[in-house]
Amino acid sequence: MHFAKYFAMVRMVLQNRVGVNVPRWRHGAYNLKDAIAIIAMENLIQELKVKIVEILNLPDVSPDDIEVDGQLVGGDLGIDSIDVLEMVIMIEKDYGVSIDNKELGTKVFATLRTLAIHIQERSQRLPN
Amino acid sequence: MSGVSIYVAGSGVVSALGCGVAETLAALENNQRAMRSISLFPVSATQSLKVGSVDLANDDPVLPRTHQLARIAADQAMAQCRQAPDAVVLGSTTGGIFTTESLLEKGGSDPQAYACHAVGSVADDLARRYGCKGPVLSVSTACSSGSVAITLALAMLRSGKAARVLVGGADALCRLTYFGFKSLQLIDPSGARPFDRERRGMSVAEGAAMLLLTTEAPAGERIQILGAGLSCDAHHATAPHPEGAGARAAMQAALDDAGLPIDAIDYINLHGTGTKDNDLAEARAVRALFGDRLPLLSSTKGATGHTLAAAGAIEAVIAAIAIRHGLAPANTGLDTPDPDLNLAPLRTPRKTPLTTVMSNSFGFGGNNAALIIGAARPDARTDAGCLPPLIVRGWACISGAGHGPQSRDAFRAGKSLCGCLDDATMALGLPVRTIRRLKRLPQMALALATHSCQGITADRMPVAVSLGTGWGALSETHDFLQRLFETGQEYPSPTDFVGSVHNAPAGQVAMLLGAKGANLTTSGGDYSFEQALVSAELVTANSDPVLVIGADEAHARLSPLFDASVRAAGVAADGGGALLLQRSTDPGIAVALISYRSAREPEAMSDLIARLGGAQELCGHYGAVLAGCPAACRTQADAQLSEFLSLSHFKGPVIDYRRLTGEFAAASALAAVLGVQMVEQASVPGAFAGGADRPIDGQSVLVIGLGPYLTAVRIGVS
Repeated sequence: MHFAKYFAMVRMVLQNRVGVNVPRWRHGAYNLKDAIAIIAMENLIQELKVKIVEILNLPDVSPDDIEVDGQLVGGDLGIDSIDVLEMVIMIEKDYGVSIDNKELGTKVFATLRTLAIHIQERSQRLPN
Repeated sequence: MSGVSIYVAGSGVVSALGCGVAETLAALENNQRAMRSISLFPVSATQSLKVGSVDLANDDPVLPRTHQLARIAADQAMAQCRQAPDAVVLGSTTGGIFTTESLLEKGGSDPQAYACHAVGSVADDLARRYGCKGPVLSVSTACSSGSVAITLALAMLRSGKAARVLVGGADALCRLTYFGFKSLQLIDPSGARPFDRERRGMSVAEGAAMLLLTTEAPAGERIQILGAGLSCDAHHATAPHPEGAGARAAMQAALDDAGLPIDAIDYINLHGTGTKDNDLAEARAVRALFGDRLPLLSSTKGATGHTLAAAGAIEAVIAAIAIRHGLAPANTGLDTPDPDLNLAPLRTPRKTPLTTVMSNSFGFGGNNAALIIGAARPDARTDAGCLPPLIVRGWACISGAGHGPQSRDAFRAGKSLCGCLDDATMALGLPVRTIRRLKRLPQMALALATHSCQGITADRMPVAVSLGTGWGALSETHDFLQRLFETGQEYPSPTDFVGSVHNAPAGQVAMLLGAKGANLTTSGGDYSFEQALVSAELVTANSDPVLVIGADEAHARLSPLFDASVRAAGVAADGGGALLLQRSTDPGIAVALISYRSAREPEAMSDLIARLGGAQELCGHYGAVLAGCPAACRTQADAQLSEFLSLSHFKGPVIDYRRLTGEFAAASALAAVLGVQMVEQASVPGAFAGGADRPIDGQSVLVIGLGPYLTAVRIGVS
């Protein structure tokens, strides 16, 4: 199958069935590696949403309530510094990415997207 | 009324710096940094961090490390004393946990091997060792435990309840604290560098220090405990208040207690753990209080590491050394002071005369303590004198039968209260976001706190909290260790670590209620609630309301392993009780601890009865007795109860309450609440009085605890 067609199909499946927003493929805009990275990133974001709600036992938050570019810590979600540490352990365990206390205060946990980017750039277990 | 001076008549210390006062002094003079790589238990290369560890010359194969460290320090403190102490007060967070961890990892199922697990067993061991007949308090307020213990001992001596108190703190290294603080990212891989620009955290350490405090002036140079102050941030489970508001309040309270102005302080031994947040909050608090008139300052935790519950006691001994030898110790490990902190701690030891020293200790749960130690001064503070009684302003309880009203109804019908209330019913009405990370014990504490303060006006809301628990948060402790072992020590839960500390439930209560006064947690087995009550009496000298709670959770695996009474009963039961108390001359129901003593001596029971006013007074004054006979010592307790009845000639209803409540350490808290209800209704339920309800107009109810200690709590109309 031609890559553009394949991409379009995967994109439809992701958008309609999984609810992942994947930018439309345009000739020259992506190479295969970029496309895979984008899909992997969207997938990672979805995965993190579910994991965060689960491990933090957030009682009144559903995965969809976590906005990708919204404030992750100290905002309406009720996520605090102990939760950040619980996420650090999960990220190390599930993605092999360790985040030490020099980086905690940085922008890693600013939003779900910054977190996902940090993980994707460093994880040997994810395509990037 | 003349002032009561409290002297340091003996002191002992053991830490990574050495064993005894002389070695500690030498190490401080040399600015020695004692941290080295962990070797007590195996860790992977990537997990290896520096700790402050003690080489135990004759490591006992059975007695846990904490107990051994406590004995070493206590033997030094008691070396010159031939008389038994009147009381033992000890701060500890670890108890026998290092031994317990090793056993649990191997799946050890022999309960005997866990016999010294309890935090309270360390103080009990010392009390037996020196023949102490009086009260034994085990304080577990995380990293402030040692200083809080000294604060309580000071109050006990000033009140005249004791003339000699053996007091201090002890904690051993263990996996729980090592991996726990690591999971919180609070450990500096280079070793603690308090107040340094590059600091990245603390170094976990072990050690013990004990002081023999007396009201009688010892021979030779005299050092006094001049004052103490406690506070609670009521801000966060682990993080300090960013401006150090609680820390400042504790320092101010200590100054007020000593009756000294800030200028009197020559040197502050800072808490200074080396974590970013602690050092920043403490620096701000010190600046706010002292302004530009800063005394000499240093944290000695870059030398010793952070010995947790021992730290306050070790630093009290260091304060005494500093005064005696005119030595302000260095802030070991400090290279470049953090400019953001605007403090200049000593980078090298300084020889200079010191008269008065402040020592700070702050812990998880926002538990803050400050001590003031000084060369003897003639103008010792005058004591408050006779205080009005603690009056019940509110109560709550939880049992297998349900919350307060259900428990009361079951009790009045003579039905069993034994069992475990289901989680959902127990936590009904608690804010979901608050309890999302909390397991059974902290949820129980919050439920008790909420219900006991229902309908209470703002001026009667608790300022202080004193919580007794025999075993602490077993679910969190179990789950932390379980995941630690399952993941090859790689991925323990920081949330469970934070929840596992004994004072976490009281810290949660303080946050929920905004209680910023003293925040105490005691852990003395079946007498934990009584210890919480003693502590509450000691820290409330004014009309600040205090919430006294006793609570324990049943844990399917750990409760039968740790608690012999649970094992003997074979039935899971838990719960507790809470009393909101306030010193007042208003008419009401007063609660008072009349006696807390060891049961070892032949005269123990007659002494207890004498303290209750003698047989005649006892029979006239009390309408009912609630007797606590723990199943593990049923034969002994039955004999004690018979002796009590034959010596006192008491003929009224005697309720053997553990047969109703089931077996759990804090059952006496539930019994106390049931006692309050009987006094409130002025009648004993017919089920316990031979048929019809028995009126006890104007009479009191006595709650006695039997077994290795004899305790008596009076509940009566004042």
